[in-house]
Order: sequence, then C-alpha cells, then structure tokens
Amino acid sequence: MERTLIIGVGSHFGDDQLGWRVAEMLSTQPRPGVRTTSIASPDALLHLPGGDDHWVIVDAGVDRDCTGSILRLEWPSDNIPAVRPRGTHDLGLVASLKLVEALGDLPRRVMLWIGFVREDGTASEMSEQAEQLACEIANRIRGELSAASVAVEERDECTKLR
Amino acid sequence: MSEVRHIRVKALSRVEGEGGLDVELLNGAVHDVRLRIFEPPRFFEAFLRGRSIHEVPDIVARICGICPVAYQMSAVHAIEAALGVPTTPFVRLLRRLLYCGEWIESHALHMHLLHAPDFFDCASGIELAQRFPDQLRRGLRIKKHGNELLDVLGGRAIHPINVRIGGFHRAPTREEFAPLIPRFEWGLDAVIEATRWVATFPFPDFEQPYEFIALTHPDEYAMNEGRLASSTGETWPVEKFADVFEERQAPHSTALHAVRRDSGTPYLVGPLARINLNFAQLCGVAQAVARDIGFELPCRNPFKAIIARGLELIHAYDEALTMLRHYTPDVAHVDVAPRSSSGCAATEAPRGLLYHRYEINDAGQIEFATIVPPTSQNQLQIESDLRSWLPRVLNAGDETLSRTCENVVRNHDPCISCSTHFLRVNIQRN
Repeated sequence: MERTLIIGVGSHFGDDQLGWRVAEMLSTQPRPGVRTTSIASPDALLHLPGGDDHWVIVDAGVDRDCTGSILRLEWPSDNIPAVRPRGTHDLGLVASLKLVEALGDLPRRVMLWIGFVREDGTASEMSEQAEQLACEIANRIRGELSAASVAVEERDECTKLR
Repeated sequence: MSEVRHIRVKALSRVEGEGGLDVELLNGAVHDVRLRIFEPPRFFEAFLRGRSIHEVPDIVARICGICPVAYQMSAVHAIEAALGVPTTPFVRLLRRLLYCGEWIESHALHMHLLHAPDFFDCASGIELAQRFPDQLRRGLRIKKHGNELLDVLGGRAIHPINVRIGGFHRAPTREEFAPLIPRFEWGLDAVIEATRWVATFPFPDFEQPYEFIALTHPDEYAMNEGRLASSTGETWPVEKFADVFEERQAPHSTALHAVRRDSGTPYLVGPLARINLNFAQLCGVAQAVARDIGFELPCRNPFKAIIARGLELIHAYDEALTMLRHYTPDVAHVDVAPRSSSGCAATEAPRGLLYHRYEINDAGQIEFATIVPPTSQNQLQIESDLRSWLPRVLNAGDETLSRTCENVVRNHDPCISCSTHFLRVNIQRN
C-alpha cells in the first residue's frame, strides 16, 4: 500500500492557519495509508520520519494578484512561488524541499497545494475566504487520493464548517 | 596611464540581510574596499522610545530571527542594571540555558549550511548535502535541538516570548525539560564529531593582526555577564563601552562602523575572539577536543572561526546538559519598580558582543535607546580582512575573485539585518 503523508504548513494566526486547517479536515476520517501532520515552518520537512511514498504539502501564500485562488504543483517545478522565507538565514519551502532531495530523503512523489490568502497571519481568526479555500483544497486532495485508489470517504467539509 | 579594475559583488549570498561589496583595483593594487550595507535602516532604537520597559524584550527580539535571545538578554540586563534589579541565581541559570539554545541553533546553521560549502567550492548547503549527506543531516539535527530548547524555555522556537524584565514569565517544569536530556546526550557526541570534521577542512594560510574583544568572566565562559576584555590585555567594565568604542557613519553603509575611540582602529568580536580570550573557561570536553585536533592559540585565521563555533557548540551542549540534568524549578522572576534611570549591558550574541543602553523615565518608558550589534562592530575589520586577502587573488578572474571575497566575509557570519544601520560584491579594476 502506498504511504501518503499530508503536511499542513502554517501557524495559529489568521489565514496562515490554512495549511493546518486542511490537514485537520483530512485527519477527521483516517484512512489506511494516509496520515496527516502539521508543521510550523518548511525546514521541519527535514526532520520528518522517512518511509513515505507521497507527500501532499499544503501552505498559504500571499500574492495580491492571486488572492482567492489555488495553485497545485508537482515537485519539481520552476513555478513554486516564494512562500515562507522569513530571511536569508531561513529555509523557505523550495530550499527545504531541495535540501531534503539532496539528502536523498524525498518521497518519489510530492504535490504542493498553495491557497492564496489576503494576509499572512496577523489576525487571530481565519477569514471566510481562507476557510472556503481550505475546504476546496481538502475536497480536491480527497478526490485525487480517491482517484489514486486510496480509500477516502467523500464528505463535504465546507457544509460541515458552515 | 593608470589601469582601473572594478569588481562588484551585487549581492552576497549565505549571509543574513542585504549588502554588497565594491572593490576597486588601481594598477593591480587594492585601491578601495567597501562593504556596502544597503538594507534599509530599521529604526528600532527610535521606535523603542515611549514604549514601556516591559515591551522591550519582545520588540528587540524582532531585530533578528537567528539571535533574538541575544537582543532580549542584552535588553533585560541593561534595563535591570538601570533599575537596580538583582538577577537571582535561578534566573541567571535559565538565561544561560536559553543562550545555549541560541548558540546551538545559530552556530549549527552557520557551520553546516552557510560556511562549510565555501571549503568545497559548493554554491550552497544543498550542493554540499549531496557530497556530505550524513554530516549535513547531523548538523540539521543539532540545529533542531537548539530550536527545541528555545521552544521549551522561551515559549517559541523563534522569537521567544517567555523573557521578561526580572526573569521569565514562567519556569518550565522538570517534565517539560526531561525529553531534551537524551537528545542533548546524543547531541554532545554529535558536535564533537562535527568539530573534528570541520577541523579537517582545507584552511588557507591567512592570519590577521586582530584585536579581539569579548566579555570575560573568571568563573564561566562569558555569555550574559563579565568585563569587556581585549587581546591587548586591557579590561573595562561594560559601563565604559562608549568611552572605549565609538560608532562612525560610513557613506556606503546603512550600518555604523565601530572602532576603538582612542586609535580609530577596527576590532573583532565573535567566536574567534571569545575562544582566544576565554579558552580557559571553556568546558573540559571542548578544551580536550581543541588540543586533540591541534587547534592552537592564539588563532588569528578567520577561516578557522568555523572550528571556534564547533568548540562553542561543545561547550553549549555540555553546559546545557548539566543544567537540564540538575534542573529544579524556582521563582521565575522578581518584580520591578520603574524609576527614572539609565543603564547598560553587553552579552555575547552568537556573532559577538551586543551592547544595549537605555534611559528610562519615571513612568517606566524608554526615553532613549542605543543598540550596538556585533556585525556593525566587525564591519570595518571585515573590510580590513578583504584588503589583506585581495593581493593573493588579484590575478584571478572576476568570478573567482568575487567568490573568494564572499568567503572572507562569510567567515564572520555577518548578520546584516541586525546591523542595519548591511551584502553585493562590486570589484573595480582600474
């Protein structure tokens, strides 16, 4: 059985919770072969236990021109936006993935989902728009995992949240 | 006719913040070297004015994501000095433990991802990881330990929130620290091996006539307390900092240049300075490793700062482990009563001496703040290193010349964001 790890990247704050919220939604109905985890920064990818065949990474991004949209990419890609570098001493998502890859620890398949939100985590609550993006991403990931013959029960998270 | 060659490194990589380097060569000789810091000024000293003293530890932590503890420690000690607040033995112990966490995460990052690639002509830590995966994996685990300690004691892995004037908001329980002990036992062995590894690197034969400056303390490897000490043999109380050193403006830099006030000469702070001045206070394990790898003092080769960081890592693990094993929670802070006063303090950030001075009013608000970070103190010395280094590589092509100049700068792990009040290399051959 293929081992899939869904990784939400985020924080406790505002729309930056998006990645964690998606991981939480997908964890409510655990399925064989699929696990979820939440991390606060991409360099935590370097310390995840190995053995997975497939990573699904979900993070929030901020781009004024793309707010409200979802970007889905398969690693490697030249089109990954610069999400989450906090400084030149910090590893962003791309650098972290490259380092995991250089160490030979990257699963054979890595999918990236980025939900573009309005702000990056200065509020305490997620905006309605970010909640909807999280629901949409969760549903699409569930659909892809189902299509890949991973048993995931269909459910409308958006309805549940409202 | 004179021949001019300009070499410009537009943006230095693997340093924190934004800066560049301009080199002008005239008739094959070094004419001018300017370490340009163009990261915009951040005005921390100005916007601390009018803020409550109790806000200062959390505000100054935001100066740097790598060394927030250093800013917090210098700030709380300076304000406590102003208010006459004694540091209890328990708070003193916790502050050293917090500093150990920061030294571990900062030194591990610089050694493995920022500095080590220079010795193997690797463009990045990612490239180095392909050649030395086991060593890099070990280094990343060491770094994580530092962040974990900050998380437990500081409340967060980055920008800790548990530091307050008078101590800590809350003392962790023994149970919270307990999981760290086996990790730090592994880590102590790991940093010894990491230090042995970096000691085998191909170091250029390059010595500089440094004046080293660091805190020194008779009973411990100085972190939070001590007297200012120079490799000249002079020592001063921290209160004399502004009498001994001054900051000067340089047109090409948004960071101030610190020099000795009496001679106008540069000096060096950081791990190499500390190891040279305070070797006797290093823990026994670190001293034994230093002897075993043939690390001789005085060491004036800036490329060997990576070994100094390794030895300090050993010390930080050793000391942290002792504190974690014998930890007994106590009262986390003492109360503080504001009054009109002024005070200063210096502590040892991973990159070197960090000086703070504050003036406080009766309402407990900051009237005036002075922050002198290590990188601004090292900036003139880095330019001096480059002047000494360049004649060795003048015949090289611009690309090689630029790359080796960056290596010289990275020896000192400059933190431009901290110092802004700083990297690109431009080389001009005339």
